[in-house]
Amino acid sequence: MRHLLIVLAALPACFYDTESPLPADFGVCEAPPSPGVAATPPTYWRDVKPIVDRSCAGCHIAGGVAPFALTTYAEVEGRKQQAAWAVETRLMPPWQPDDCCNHYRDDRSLTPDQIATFTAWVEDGAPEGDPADEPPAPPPAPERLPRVDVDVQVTEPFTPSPRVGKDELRCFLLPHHFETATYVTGTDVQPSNRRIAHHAILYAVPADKARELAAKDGADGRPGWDCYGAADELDVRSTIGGWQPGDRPRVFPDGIGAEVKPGTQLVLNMHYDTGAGTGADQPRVQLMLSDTVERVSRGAPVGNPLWFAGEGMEIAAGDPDAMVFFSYDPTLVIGKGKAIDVESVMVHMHELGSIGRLAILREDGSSECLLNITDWDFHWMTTYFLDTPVRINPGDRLYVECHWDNTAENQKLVDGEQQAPRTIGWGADEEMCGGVIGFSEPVQ
Amino acid sequence: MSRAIVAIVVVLVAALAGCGSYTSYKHTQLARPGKTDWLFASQLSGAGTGTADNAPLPEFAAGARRRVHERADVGVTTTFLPLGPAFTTFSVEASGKLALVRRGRWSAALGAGAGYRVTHSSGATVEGVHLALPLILGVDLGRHQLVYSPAAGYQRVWSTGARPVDVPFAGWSLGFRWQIGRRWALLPEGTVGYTPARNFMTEDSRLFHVGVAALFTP
Repeated sequence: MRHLLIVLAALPACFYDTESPLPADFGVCEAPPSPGVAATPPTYWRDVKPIVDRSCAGCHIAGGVAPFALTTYAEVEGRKQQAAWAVETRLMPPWQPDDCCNHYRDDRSLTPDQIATFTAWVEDGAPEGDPADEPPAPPPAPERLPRVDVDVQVTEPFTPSPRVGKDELRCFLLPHHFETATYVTGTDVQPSNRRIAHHAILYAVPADKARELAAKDGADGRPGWDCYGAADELDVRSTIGGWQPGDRPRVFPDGIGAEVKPGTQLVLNMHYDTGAGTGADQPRVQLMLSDTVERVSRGAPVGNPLWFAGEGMEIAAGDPDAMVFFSYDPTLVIGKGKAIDVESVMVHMHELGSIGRLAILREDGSSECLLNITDWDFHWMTTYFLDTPVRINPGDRLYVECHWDNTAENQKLVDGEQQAPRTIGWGADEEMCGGVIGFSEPVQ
Repeated sequence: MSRAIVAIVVVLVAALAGCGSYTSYKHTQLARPGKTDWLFASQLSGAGTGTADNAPLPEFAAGARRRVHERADVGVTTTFLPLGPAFTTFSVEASGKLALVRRGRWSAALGAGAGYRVTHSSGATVEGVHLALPLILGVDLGRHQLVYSPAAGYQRVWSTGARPVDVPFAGWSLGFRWQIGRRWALLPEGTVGYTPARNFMTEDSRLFHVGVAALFTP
């Protein structure tokens, strides 16, 4: 029996693979573009303002979540050294995907040319130039939905409390019931206090789940309920929209909508950054609906079932690079044997995350990068919409990989004190790893 | 619940559900000397999860046992659910049974089983090995036997890209050996178990297994 035990204990070592199947150059630029040298010294009006307006002013406006505005020459000139450092280090604008993985809609990252232009402008003394040199601005994106069919607001103002770190994630059950089946074709989330609103996720929650959540609503004496780690209770696949600073209304491509069944209610998950401001917020949500669409928007998760069980996703205290990964062929289950066109991608981890990757492992042994975040920041987690859908063919595998830094230096601050590393696993107050792809399929 | 989440939960259930089904269809009788007992069964196993409590996993089972000593027999049992590349399970277990004591209608035996289990789902694979130790207590009711069996065991489950998961488990089963003629018997059995292993948002898991086997002795 002793020998049998030894053999059984040794068996897993034969099969337990801890090496990432991704190539070492995954997501790395083949030939990193070198910054261009401007022919003439850059000026604010001609060269810098277009960059700032496009990539900074979404947050850096009066009343925005950023701590100062960057909407005039005086404001930008006054912050020029700080801004140059932020763009050179790529701290700002916040954009997590690495450059050479894929192309996404509303990419607010700066190109090497733009960074070089900005820093050269600062080094040259930040000349203002002539306002007449300002290039024509691109046509503004619509400020509102083309049509508003549902207009609903959180019932009471909510004032976040900076009890845990400086963030509070709060969910609100919105007072709107869908009486009949329909499709959401556009969403517009409007925080009333953009000084504290960091981002928002909008869910369409089935009736039975909504009843369960209603019991939590206001239970702690404040509007809504604490929903840090909302993946425990809110299915990421029921996400129909969201908001982040600088966002415009989100409208699905023509003919595509998110399915809503009778009895569905809306849940708004607000992430408040109380380090950025104070006061109350009472967000409003507007929706555009359609009775018919040609394709329905869907989401599919990717994650290893063993991560939920026992020590399947154990992250040891002090481990500088704990890593898990998983892949499967989604065409067999959600594609009914047919190809799937991936339209959006997201990776989910918590504060200890360091690297998050989503890829397609092709049947021929090659890989295609969907999302490669090598400097993970939980606070800027969002869904990225691909410029061009990427096809997963039968035989390919959808792959997710998560890394964590669980060293003392990477622990979060709680009430001003850095927490000590502890061994953790899967949990709302621990860590998670998962990928989500968005795709659409013909209406059944 | 979407097909994708169902698939994930089913894989998890399939990985853990074996705990309740190892060394199943127990009774205290040994295979007849020189004869091989053949067993065919269909069964449902499950593990409590946060989103799909006790989602049952149907499987088939087949096995054979042979006497190797006047007080012991050994056997091999497989379970399987072949649904193609979308979902397939397979397990094989070698087990032995030692007759401990018989006092009139009452009898006791000690079992031991060790095996391997694999689940393939949409190209993902979860594997595991296990040990199970049931104590089998029987009371004869004429030609038939009522069986109560507390059991304990250990399972280690692994998958590429995840840490191995240790799943100790304990539980008990209630079964009946219903003798039909000289060659055939039916063995309905139900098992409930518990593991402290965390499982899909829950801190521990309940395990269950129900099935019925046909036992044939040539």
